[in-house]
Amino acid sequence: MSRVMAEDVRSFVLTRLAGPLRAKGLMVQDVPDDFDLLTEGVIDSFGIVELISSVLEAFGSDVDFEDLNAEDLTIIGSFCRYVAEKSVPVNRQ
Amino acid sequence: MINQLPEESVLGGMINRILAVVARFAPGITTWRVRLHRWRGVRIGKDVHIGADVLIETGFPSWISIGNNVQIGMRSTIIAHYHGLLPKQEDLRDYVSVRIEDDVSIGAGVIILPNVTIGYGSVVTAGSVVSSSVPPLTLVQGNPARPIARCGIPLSFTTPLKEFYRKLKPLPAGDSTFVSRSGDG
Repeated sequence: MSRVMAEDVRSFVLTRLAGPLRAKGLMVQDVPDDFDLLTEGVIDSFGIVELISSVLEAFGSDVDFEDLNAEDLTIIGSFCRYVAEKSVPVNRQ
Repeated sequence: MINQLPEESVLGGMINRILAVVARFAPGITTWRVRLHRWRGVRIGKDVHIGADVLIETGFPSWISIGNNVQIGMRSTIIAHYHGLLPKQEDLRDYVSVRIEDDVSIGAGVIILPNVTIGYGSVVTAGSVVSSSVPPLTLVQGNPARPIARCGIPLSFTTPLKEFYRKLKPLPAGDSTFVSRSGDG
């Protein structure tokens, strides 16, 4: 059993969003920790639903965002750390 | 046999349409626009926000019911009648075709078609076409609008957007929980 790391979540999220990030002239590795996906126009309301849905599927369906500061929901760094902290350890071969 | 459109007086029809045109561009998102539509016969609750250029049923405004704390985004259109699907004459009293319940938020450019109920606290995202009823506290999107998430709280005028997003619970893809009318099951 291994813990989910914030870097794993970040890599997963940013890979999925590579298209809109490129459209803004950003490479995945250049995205700063305090980057707001919503206010920077990378995702919209539907994008947030898709993001949460895909992250829950990949890192644990039990993650509840009730304890996350609402302002941090779309900040890449804090979002990924929260998901990593709340995810259940996964079996890795 | 196709039911006939109810009779409309020339003067009444003209006043209704003039008020409708004025209401589209009048200032006063919570005041004059709302008042003008009420004068036309639209049933509207308290604290309703109506954006610019919103078109609310030209011919039969009383067939629309809008609850309290509802927001309607700019350039939305609400249609209450189809020529080929009209109510019977005996059902016309207090007839409601489109019912928008309390605390609903409708994005910009939404089209709402006849015979639907949008349930309490639901959110219709911008540009969607609502062709069937929406259960309470549901986020719908697209054409035709489909449920994509359950809302933990309604999206009121004063709700911080991120707080609303934080409480969303995504629905599995393909989940179709539409009902024909709210309350019908």
